[in-house]
Amino acid sequence: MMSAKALRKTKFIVINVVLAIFLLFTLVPVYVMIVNSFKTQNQLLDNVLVFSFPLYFRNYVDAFNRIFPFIWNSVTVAVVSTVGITLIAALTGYAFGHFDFKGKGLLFTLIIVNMMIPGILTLVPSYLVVVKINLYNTQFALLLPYLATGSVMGIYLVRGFVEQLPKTIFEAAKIDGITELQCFIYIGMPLVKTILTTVSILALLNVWNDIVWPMLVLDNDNIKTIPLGLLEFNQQQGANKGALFAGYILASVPLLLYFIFNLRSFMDSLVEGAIK
Amino acid sequence: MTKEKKSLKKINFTPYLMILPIMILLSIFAFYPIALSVIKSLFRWSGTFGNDGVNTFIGFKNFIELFQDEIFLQSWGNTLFFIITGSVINLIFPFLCALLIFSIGNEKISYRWRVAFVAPMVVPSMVVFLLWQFIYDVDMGVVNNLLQLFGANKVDLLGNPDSVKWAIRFMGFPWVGGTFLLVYIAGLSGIDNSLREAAKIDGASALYRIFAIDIPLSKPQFKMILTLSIIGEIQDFVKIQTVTEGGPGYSSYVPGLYMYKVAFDSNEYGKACAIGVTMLVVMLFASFLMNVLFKKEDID
Amino acid sequence: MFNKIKKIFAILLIAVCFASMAIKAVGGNNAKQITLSFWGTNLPYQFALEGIAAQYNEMQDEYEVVIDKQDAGNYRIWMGGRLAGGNASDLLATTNVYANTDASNGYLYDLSEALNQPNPYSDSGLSWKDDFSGTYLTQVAYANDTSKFYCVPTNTVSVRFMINTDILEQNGIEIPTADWTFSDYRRICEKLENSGYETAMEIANAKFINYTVSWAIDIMMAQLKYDEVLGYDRNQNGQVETEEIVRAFLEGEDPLDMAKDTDFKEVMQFIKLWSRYWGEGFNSRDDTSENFLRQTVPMMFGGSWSVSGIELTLNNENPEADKTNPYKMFNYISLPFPRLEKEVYLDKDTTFTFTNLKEGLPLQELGEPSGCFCIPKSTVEAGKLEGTLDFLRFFTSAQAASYMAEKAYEIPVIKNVEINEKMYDFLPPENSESIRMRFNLLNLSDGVASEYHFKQVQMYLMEGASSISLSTLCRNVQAKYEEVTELIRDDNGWEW
Repeated sequence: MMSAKALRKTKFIVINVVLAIFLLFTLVPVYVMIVNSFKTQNQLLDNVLVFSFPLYFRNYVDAFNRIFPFIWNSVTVAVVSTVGITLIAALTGYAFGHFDFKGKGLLFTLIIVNMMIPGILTLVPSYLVVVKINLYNTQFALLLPYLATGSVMGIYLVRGFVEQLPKTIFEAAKIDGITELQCFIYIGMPLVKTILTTVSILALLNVWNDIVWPMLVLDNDNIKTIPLGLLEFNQQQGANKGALFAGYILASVPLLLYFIFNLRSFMDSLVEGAIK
Repeated sequence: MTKEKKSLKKINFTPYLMILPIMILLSIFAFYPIALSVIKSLFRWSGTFGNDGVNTFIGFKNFIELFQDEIFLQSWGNTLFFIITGSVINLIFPFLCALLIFSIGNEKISYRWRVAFVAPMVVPSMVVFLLWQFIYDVDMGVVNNLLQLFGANKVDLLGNPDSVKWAIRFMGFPWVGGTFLLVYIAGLSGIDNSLREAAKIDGASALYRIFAIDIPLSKPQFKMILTLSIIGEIQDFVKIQTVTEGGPGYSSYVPGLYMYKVAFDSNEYGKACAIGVTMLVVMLFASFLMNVLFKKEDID
Repeated sequence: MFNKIKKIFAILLIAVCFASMAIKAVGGNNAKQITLSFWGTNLPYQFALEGIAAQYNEMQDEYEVVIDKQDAGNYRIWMGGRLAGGNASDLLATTNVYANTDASNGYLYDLSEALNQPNPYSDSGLSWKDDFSGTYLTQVAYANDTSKFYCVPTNTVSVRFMINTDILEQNGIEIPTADWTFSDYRRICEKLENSGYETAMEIANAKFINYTVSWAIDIMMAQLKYDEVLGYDRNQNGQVETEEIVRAFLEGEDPLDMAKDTDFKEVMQFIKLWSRYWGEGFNSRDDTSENFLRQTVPMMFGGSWSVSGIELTLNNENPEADKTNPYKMFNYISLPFPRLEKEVYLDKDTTFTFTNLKEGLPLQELGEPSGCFCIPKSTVEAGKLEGTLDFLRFFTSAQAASYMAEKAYEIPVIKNVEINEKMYDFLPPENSESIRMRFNLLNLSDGVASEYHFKQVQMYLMEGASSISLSTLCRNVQAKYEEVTELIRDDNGWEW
């Protein structure tokens, strides 16, 4: 029998090995993507498992020219939507958490109920509505519905947070005679900063990965988002599939950058969201 | 608050003003479409709002036709497969991984593992679908490349009705990435460690501790993930549309895809709404079922 | 410090994004712009269309025609959504089946009046209608009322076997001619397979939907049912229109019944036997042209629309071709579908017998109107009808058709058009007749029903536990036909 210490050490090693195996398998598609992004068509036909030399960097140039507009569109919509969602969530969540007013319960339920409604039910009618109000084929066709449905989760989170805040700070300020609006802006907002980060990251992930809705309402190449651009790219690249993979990697860059530079808050927010 | 009279002058408009934006947005993009969908499911509708086109009331005819429609029924059968396999997978694999990560004492290393498993989320989901489609490709795909290395014959996993559903389900192996993992870890951290200590002192083995403490006390997480899994699988059709378009035949067809086609390929918007309503009903039923199965138990 | 930089960057990014969105929002709807949308896998076709648009734009100042290419896979879905939303392009590529459905839903403009006027861009002096050759235009008349036209065709297509004659010569195989038989074809395949080619012939496919196989079914059924089809053409105008097809299925004591029909059964059995030679994964493959170009496959069965792509690439004029692998020129010919015989040689162990085949009949040439364009009502409402109609007339003049033939190998449907030599391969062979009836749900009905047809055939051609049997296939197909024809009959209130 091993000593307790040795046992613990073995356990530690085993766990890490198993986790490493899991991670390895999880990264297989990423590996495939990287390896094949440097290949010409001939090298691809040869094998798709390991690097082929010489590396063909031109794929990245081709892909970049094709994909960049779509990346920019996705980034634009994601950023503006996230900012909008965060603001609306802050505004509304604060209202529900801080005030007491007639119809509060009913209105809150009305809003939260939307978390339960499957997106699929509203897909077709929303499309028709968007067309009717002349927003079809504009970025607002994406933005406004995202603001509507994306804020719901945020409102739930912010309200929960605001309800927990101690009332004393607010009361102290009100005695000094500030308006509700100032109260919200100068006192409420700074306090909810942490939960707002969570809200914004969750919103960002949802908007970034959305495929169905842009597929329906976007037509113009100069506003299409990444998933649509990739689909088009996929269909067109009959002769040189290596460029496709370069395109996939380029499409992952924005979120990767965000991930790297905001690692801590990213992780914390996901956990927060997970708990709720 | 106590001294205010209930007169119009004293009502504080601020909260109402604050929630006005979201209410307007929701009315246009959520409430109205939902109502429209439910109402039009009783019509034969060509999608236009003016005088042109078809817009006749036909009662439940759409639903009756759907339930006699082979394609519709088969699509639900396929979804059932995806729901069952998906739920089993989501209850086991991320949880297993969470247990492993959680049982690492070292906070730093544990954090690093969490980062490592969350990192693949930076790849857009469309890229993941297209990559897996490539992996399964008959001529150039990874699977067939490997098989040929070992001298075996090529396989067409996506083109064969017997294997296509399993191939689609296999996508994402080993299914431990992302938010579900974090949910389980959060849940495990929430369990009072003293319980584990007590069990250890009583001489319980690690395995026993897992089954006696971690699993039962993670019930809320299981419930949430099971619900999300089911609702997700019922709705999700983009993955299938990208990878196989529902083929071969209708072996990987799902109701969402059918709804999409009925709406835009056949211009039968009434029927499409009916499909949507059916999905809503199933989802509500599933949520209800979850609530019944996971009645709140007291944690002692 | 780092955090400060991050904050500044974040604010900058947000500001730029807002600005970008604002800029993109200001985009006027150009009243003088006419947009033509089509589904675009074919690069030469796109270039040719752009050429026509450029010619038209130069000729006059009032309108500007813009060519808009849409993703091939999603076109019908894209188009359906736009029509319902009333925001489709001014001129839409379509098929006559889609046009039928869309017209019943009230989305399209009726062109019959315009068709009765002469075409100012044509020298013939006839009405626009009469400039179209053969039955191409009449085949696209509105099914519910053949005096109305909701689309016009601009070319016709056919399917061909593309054969790399260099490879055949290298292997000492005699080059076949247009009157080759299926047995000839199979013998050639065997010699090629023995010479080391894994697959002698690949079927050109778009992923998951097997149009080419459907065409093969059509061609074979036409050969077998030649006599019967004459009987279905009640008004004897040389084609079996929708109403006549519907009557064939629903009327009389001995209606057409795919569940019991021996010809259909034999054709399907034949195709299943033939499919053994198509190569693994023929269902999910979309790179047949590429393989043909790289000469890894000596023969290819596909649509005439792929020829222009092949020509373009072999001449190294294809901007999307693989730049690291210049293609070598090779000689190839295109032949029509080989003639069936009563006894067809498939391989040394298999000979197939067609019970009802009458020999000596004319070859069946599909002559399907294609490249149809329709004008949505929204164009009329936007006040662009005049311009769009004018462009459409220009597009269907002999001069434009000649240009399309030259640049994109498009087979013209207008009378008196000059075409180049390579295209003679694609014109109907000398002793052929235009098919009068097409045995395909694709030609009767909309997306979901026709997809059903494809998928049933797909399931039948599979091997393994999930494949369906011949009787199940025939039963299912017949059931769908009955469902579709009954719906069409009821919608039109037809009674005979």
